[in-house]
Amino acid sequence: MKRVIRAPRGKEISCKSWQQEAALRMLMNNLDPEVAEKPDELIVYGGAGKAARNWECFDKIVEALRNLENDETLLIQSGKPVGIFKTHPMAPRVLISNAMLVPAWATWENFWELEKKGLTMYGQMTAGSWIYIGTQGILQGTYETFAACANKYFGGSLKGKLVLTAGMGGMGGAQPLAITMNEGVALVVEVDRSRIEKRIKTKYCDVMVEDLDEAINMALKAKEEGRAISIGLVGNAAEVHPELVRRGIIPDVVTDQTSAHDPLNGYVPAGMTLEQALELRKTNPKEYIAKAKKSIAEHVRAMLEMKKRGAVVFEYGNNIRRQAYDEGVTDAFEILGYVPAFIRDLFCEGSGPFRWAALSGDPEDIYKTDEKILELFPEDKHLARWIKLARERVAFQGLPARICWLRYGERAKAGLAFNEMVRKGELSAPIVIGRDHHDTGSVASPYRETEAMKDGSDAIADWPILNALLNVASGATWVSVHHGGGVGIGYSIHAGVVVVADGTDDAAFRISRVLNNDPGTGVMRHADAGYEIAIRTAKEHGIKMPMLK
Amino acid sequence: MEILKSPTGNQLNCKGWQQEGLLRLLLNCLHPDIAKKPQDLIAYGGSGKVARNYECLIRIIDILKNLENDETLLVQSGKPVGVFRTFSFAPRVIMAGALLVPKWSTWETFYELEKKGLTAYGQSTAGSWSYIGTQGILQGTWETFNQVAKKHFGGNLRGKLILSSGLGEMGSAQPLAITANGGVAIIVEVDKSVVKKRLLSSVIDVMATSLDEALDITAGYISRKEPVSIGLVGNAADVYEEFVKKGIVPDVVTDQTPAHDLKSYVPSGFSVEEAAELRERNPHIYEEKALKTIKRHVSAMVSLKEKGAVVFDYGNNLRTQGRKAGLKGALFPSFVAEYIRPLFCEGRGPFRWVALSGDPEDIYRTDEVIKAIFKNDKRIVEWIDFVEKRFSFHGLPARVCWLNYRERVLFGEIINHMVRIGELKAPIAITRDHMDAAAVASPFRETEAMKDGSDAIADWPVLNAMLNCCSGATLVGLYQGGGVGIGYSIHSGMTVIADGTEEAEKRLQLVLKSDPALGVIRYADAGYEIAKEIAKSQSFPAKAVF
Amino acid sequence: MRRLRFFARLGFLRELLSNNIESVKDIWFLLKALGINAMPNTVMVVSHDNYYTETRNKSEIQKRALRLKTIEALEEAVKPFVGLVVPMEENLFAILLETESDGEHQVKETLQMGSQIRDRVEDYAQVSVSIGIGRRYKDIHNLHLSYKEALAALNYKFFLGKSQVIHIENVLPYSDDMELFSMAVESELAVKVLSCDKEGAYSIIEDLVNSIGTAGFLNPLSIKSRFLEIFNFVVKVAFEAGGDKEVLAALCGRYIEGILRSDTLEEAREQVREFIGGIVEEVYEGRKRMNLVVFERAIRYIQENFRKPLTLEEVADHVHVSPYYFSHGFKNFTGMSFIQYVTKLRVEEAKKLLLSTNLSVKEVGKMVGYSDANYFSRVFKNEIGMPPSRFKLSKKFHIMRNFSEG
Repeated sequence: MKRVIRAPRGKEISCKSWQQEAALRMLMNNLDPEVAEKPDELIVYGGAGKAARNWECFDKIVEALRNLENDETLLIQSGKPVGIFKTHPMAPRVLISNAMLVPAWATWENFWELEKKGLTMYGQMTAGSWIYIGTQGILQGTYETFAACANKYFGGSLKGKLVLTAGMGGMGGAQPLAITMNEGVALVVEVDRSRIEKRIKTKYCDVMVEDLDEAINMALKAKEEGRAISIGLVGNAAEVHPELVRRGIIPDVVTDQTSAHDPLNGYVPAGMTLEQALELRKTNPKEYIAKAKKSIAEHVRAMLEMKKRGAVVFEYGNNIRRQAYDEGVTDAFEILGYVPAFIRDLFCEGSGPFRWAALSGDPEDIYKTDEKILELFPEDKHLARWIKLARERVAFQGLPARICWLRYGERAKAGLAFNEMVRKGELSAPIVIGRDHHDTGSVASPYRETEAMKDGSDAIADWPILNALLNVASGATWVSVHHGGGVGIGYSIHAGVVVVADGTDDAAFRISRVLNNDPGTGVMRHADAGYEIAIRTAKEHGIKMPMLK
Repeated sequence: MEILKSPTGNQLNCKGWQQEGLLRLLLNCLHPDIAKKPQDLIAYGGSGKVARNYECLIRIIDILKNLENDETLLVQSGKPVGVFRTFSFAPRVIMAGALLVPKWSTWETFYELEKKGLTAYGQSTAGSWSYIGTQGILQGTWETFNQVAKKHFGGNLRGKLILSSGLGEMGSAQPLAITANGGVAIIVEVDKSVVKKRLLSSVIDVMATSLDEALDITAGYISRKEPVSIGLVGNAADVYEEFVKKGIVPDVVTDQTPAHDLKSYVPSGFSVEEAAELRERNPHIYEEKALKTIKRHVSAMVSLKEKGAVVFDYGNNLRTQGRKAGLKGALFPSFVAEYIRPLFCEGRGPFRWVALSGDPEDIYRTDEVIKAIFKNDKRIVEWIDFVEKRFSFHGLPARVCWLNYRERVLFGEIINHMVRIGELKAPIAITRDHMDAAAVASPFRETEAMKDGSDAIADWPVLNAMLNCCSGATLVGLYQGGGVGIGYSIHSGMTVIADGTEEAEKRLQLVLKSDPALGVIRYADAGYEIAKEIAKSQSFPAKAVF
Repeated sequence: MRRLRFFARLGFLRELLSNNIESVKDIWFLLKALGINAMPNTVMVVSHDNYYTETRNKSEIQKRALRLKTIEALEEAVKPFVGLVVPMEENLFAILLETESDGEHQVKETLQMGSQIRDRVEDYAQVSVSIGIGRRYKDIHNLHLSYKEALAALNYKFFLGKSQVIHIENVLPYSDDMELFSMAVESELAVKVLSCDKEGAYSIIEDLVNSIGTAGFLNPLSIKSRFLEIFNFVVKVAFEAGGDKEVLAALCGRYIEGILRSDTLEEAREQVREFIGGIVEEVYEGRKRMNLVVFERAIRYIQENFRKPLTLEEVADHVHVSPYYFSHGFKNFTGMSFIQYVTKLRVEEAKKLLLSTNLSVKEVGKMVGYSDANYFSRVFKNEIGMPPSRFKLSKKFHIMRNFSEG
């Protein structure tokens, strides 16, 4: 049975208020064929990140949301709606916990076993917490990252630079566009041709090439001419990368966005077609994993060699270093993570992947909010450039949505302004405001967001929990705690939050609390770890930190 | 370091009773008669701390005193890290303790991070400022033996012989709990001085130095169906084997020796002193010998089970050690699966309340009330009568009583009413242990051998914490490692202050329903029939979706 | 009413210390009902030092006055603390305290309190007192354990002496080494007693007490009962050596009580000394009484037999004593030696014969046991101042003088 899910549009609601309606539409939007990776399997993005445990659960969630009172709260346990409790109007309408395991059991092996029994679900970050908005979310992060990289190494632009990467799934699909937006040449290796096709269709990628020689020629030519172009090469990184090394072709920047964090369902081993891989995955998962890990090792060895020969190489949060390390590549961690390299300074200011979607389904609403952002922060050139590029280049997927990285203070300001626009009827329906879990205060992930923290607190997982609980206590519309997003089971704990701007006073109250407190915990977390920028930010904004001297 | 004491009486030091209640509970955890090492901020359980260090403690006290009624303090593993504007009905304190990214969740990493001053181990109720002393142990043990009586012997242990061992801090609750349920107890303890100590403080009735002597004494009591407890000086494995050899089968057999820690378990043939000497000289051989003894110990228990005794593991990891020593098969069930889980299925759990006035009379009054409301519940009345007789208050007087979801709400409302009309001298803090139905995921203990195999699923404590957080709890926290150690459990704590206000009434109504009701749903979801039926019933305060 | 309440309180607290109240709740409500605001957790016991010896000669009224004064002093001294004074026995007062700290700190804290209380009581009542302190028991139904410990601690003043403040934590458990009480002590003591050697007996006791002081702590009760065993043995010896039954029984009665009631080893030693002293005296007296009989018989025998040659050995044998003992005892009894005594008898007899008969000096000498006439003359001259021949010549004159007097 193939079901096609698409969020309802317009002002008519089927729930008892916009708070529940927002959850309903965002859940459905996550499964919109324009948005989701494998909607018929409920998989939204990131290998196996699902929105609900199964279709029965999905239907029950929809039913529960439709009947949910304004003082009730629905509890979701790993994609399964388990209970409805009487709370109060200012409480969240939905609370979600996904894929949480007692730590000693937190391995993929145990996870899949439990998943097979129907007891848990992998929610990635925003898949299971219903605030995935397609690749734009990733696009902006990717754009920010490559911009930061350009600033740091190449004087602010990737013009005339070759960037080699791989993976064009939910996450990696943002890379070609992010690189060309930074004026560089992108050579993106992807094993699944359909994925490249999809990105070409959404204008994220410029051309698809099947032949390695052709791709190399095209890329080197563009590099020479200083022309921005993105090339999707059908191939396996574990084969292509070593071949490039052999040929002495060393890119300027190398990274990777294959689903290496999940060697069974994400990474395709070298030497086999996608179809063969799919077959082996079913018939002999053990052998599959062994092969995949071996390929990952080859892949990383090539990256290390490129680094040795002068390329800027960084891991893009898919745990590929760890996988290679476990496979015997002992110097895998010579490669720096993108967070300490480029993102942490932003986190210290409470800046992170803020996003909003128009529940009306009307792109016009988003364009109006774009204007509002430009009006609210006229000084911010970087932001303005992003909004402009996004409007030109980003095709909306599912409900129209916008993402931009906003700092502490800015988020609440924007949120309150949006609520005001809804109240005044400037927008045709309420706006839902959320963020990626990959944010300043909401994640503990020692191989990504909290890699190499100044005080060594990489593995401390209290922070995302405090973040989630504080958001619950601040009136968020839904709050989630997840395990294993981005880097896989065992390697991260993170929290999500969404708040709805429906134009009411209540919403304004919720927004003023949530959109300050949520990034506030991020500033706090980084100030506690001793980062100067964060300490300064905390002091500037009067964030009360009892132990801060 | 100065030892700080909880204020008592009805004068506020904070801006509201919500904050004041938490302040008093926090300091009460460090009361010298309650805490294990107050000078090290350790409340109980090896190293369960209430705050990261003294400086943090002082800051927490200071903040609680100044915290507004719409602010929330965030405590990260015992360190006050932030104060945020929320609103009146939100918790005043939110906590996360000892949580680590799972891959790093080992004692090794934990200690490394602790050394760097980045985390602290809060056990369960130490970290959530709701430890009240050893009454909880007594209650848990009493409840277990009460369930044993109910399940196998028609409601009491009269005329039944119960064999167990260990008279340490945990184990010494056994003779009291067994005799309170009418039974005859033989408790084997290897350390004579410990037996003497228990004898002096009336924890046991008689000391015996041989099994024959013990059996001579018990025979009369068994035939007259009168309770008595014997402390038998000896090695548990030897004594249990002697039972097998003599062909005497006790009605119930369990064990509370420190079998989980081979270094503390005394091998057969060794006196306490000799054991200490060997442990010092050759720890490796010591552990080998201990394991060998445990094997005999477990085998004897299996034999007694085969001969008809009710045998269970009392959470000291005895079976795991037995398997390590080479034993195979199911051996015998754990006390949680056998006796505690049925209670959890009913949403019944270790509910407790604390008189912030510091006056025992407040607790005795609530005792009277609880006995009056639940006068038809023999279990509750018997427990209250028993604990009133045998338990002295220390610090802030408190009472533990296992109540289900309906009873908790009803009782919570009554307490709040009593505070409102001035029948109690000050507000009451209502809290619970983390070892509650929905509050804990701990595959070696509370969630061992779940029907559907969901032992390691940790969504439930997380949902529990978040739900309590928006149901009006005054304090909410999520923690790792209580009871069984880092890596092996995730659990949540909850406290709500009944200060007599209408807002408190609302908090109590919501949180005392939701907290245990989620437990019922958790067990219904795992396929337990009692829980499913309750979840379906008209009066169930939440809706189970499936 | 107030008086009633006072007695009710006293009764309750004594019951509490005797572990006679079972329910914690009952304890709490009784405390409250009796207006006791404290939650005692530690017990101190106080008693006068050397109470027995010092009040031995006082009247009951005097003793009672001292008791009241002590209670008053205690009440006053306890005021700075949270404490209750409970008179337990004639010379035993318990103080129920509420202390805060535990372990080492409690020891320090309560020792300070104890010293303060002792000083004030000694100052006020002008007596010496010692104090025993138990551990802190946070469960009130275990308070009786603290009381027992306090009593045990107080017992140690037996060794430590007067005016002590002793915490149970600071004393070593009693050793059960009874070596220094070997039977040798008894036989040595018996020798001294039999020979009526008071100083020798004292020095044995001195050594014994000193050895107790240097050995580990023995239970004072064991020491006392061992002293009583010694008493028993010594009394038996004394009786066989001629001590008077009644006198010995009285000594025993008095000093057994003295030993049992002695508060310190010092006091006990004094009691033992006095007892042994008394025993030696009595043995001596007994000896004296027994000598009377022996030497009267000896004298009778001598008087009957001095006309024959008579040796000391022969007489001693006749009365069943050793010649050595006889020789000494005889002189003690008669004030002269055996030879002197026999000589005196013989010379007197010879004088009679010389005056009343016409027998020759030689014959007279023979008749009174001197076969050698020369030797007889020499002895006679030594006694009378003139030889027997001259004495014989003075016969007439002697008679005349006799008549003139008649």
